[in-house]
Amino acid sequence: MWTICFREFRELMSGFRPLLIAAVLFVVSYYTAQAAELIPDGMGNLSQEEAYVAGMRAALYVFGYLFVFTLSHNVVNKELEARTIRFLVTKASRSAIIYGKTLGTFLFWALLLLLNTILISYTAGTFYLIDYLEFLVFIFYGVTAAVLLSILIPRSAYTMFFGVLAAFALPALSFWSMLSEEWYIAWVKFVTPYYYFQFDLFYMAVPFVIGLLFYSAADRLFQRRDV
Amino acid sequence: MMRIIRTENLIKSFGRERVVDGISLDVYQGELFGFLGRNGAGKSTFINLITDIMKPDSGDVYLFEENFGIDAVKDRIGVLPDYSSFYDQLTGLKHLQFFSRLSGKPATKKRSLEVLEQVGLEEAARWKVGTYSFGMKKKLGVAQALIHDPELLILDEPTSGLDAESVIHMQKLVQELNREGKTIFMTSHNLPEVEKICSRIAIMKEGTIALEGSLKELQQQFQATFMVTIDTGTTLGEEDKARISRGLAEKKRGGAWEDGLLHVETASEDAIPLLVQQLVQLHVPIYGVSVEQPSLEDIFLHEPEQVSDDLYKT
Repeated sequence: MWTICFREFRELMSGFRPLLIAAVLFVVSYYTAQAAELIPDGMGNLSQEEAYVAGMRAALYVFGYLFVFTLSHNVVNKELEARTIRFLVTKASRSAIIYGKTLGTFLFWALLLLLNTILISYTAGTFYLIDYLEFLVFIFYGVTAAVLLSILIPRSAYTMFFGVLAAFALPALSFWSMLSEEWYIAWVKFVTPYYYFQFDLFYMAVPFVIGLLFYSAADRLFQRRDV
Repeated sequence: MMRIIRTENLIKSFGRERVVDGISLDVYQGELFGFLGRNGAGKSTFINLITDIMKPDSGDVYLFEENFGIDAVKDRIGVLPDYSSFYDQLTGLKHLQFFSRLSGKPATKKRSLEVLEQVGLEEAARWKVGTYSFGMKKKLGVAQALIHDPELLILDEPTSGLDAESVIHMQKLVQELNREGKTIFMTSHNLPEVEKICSRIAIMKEGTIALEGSLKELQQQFQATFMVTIDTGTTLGEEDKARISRGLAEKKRGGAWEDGLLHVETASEDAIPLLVQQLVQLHVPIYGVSVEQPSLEDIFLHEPEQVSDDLYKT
């Protein structure tokens, strides 16, 4: 399990992608805070310190799932397509493969978010521990959704398409749902993480549990899959 | 003896086509088991079913007489699957180190290099696999199956795509591993290879096991009679030949002459020493005795329908 986890982590860390993502998140966070300084009354009731983390949150809202799905839409099906998975399943349990891949992907994001949180914490002069934990849950939800998608759809070209679609649809539908009373959309906010950001950390348990359900479904599907 | 592989009524279909049709098979500890069949007979699918690459529609697979599922014994099995590929950016050496860690038995660099040498890849150990030829990838496939020193090796066509020298090297390696005590289950299209190295053989046809046993058992099953040829030299005249033929007829045996060669048909292999004894009693000079036996190729190429049904398991 750890072997697959570290391999997935290393693969995601290789190249310019982590630097680019970290840069985007930091630049958006930083300039959002700078912009807040220029507005005479600040951004609503936000203090300067809060503006930094609000910027990071906004960056995650907008780009978070797009990054996750773009990088990890094919976390499993790329190995199915290449048939490298055949060597993996003959050596490790299927659960260990899914666990390793999910954890490796999650650790990559956890590290990126930690670096970014440290950077903005340093700039703002305060450490955003609670916000970091919320970001982790937010990303966990996206990572498990990407793993599930990658098992549900065996072709990586399709998961790329559906992943990007989901990355735009998730925030759009969630915010629509939060602003609407219509029955056909109002329920969406309860199954995505955005709604729970406005409450205490405790409420983030809901998207975390949904993420666990995604993970469990992915594991069960993979147990039955011919590779 | 311990049954290392046991399948019970294993069934797998793709769409409407039943590719594996109720196979029950036992492979015992220490065997070098050859699995034959034409293209599309279901050999690779059977291997995929017993190695967790595919899931059976029904039926059971037991490895090492273990009831806790294949996950419990994966570290004791080395598999060379059909239609598999490697990570092009990793070297052969890195692959072995990765796969050994995955098996839960991390290999040292020394051990990895030893295994690469065993399969004849020592010079390419540090090349990226993307630069390997088909044959080199096949060798690496065998190496990754060996790296964690498994008790059971399941090899899907380990010699296909190799050059003649590598084929011989691989056959020797497989035999050596078997002598070391590893149980080996392999498929091959190379009939002389299977005939030469395997202790037991199964022939698969249309998703079922058509024949199973040692080569000798298959020959006995396949062959209804044995044609014995006795070389009597060139000294016998026509009168002697007629006398011998009469003598054989009294013993209820038929015989046909072809120059100095006497061809006699017997119903079983056990009757051959008796025949020789009878010929000695008839004062036949014997310079040589040969028994015509079907090769594995004869058995394989023979349409099973042409052999009586009772010779077949299914």
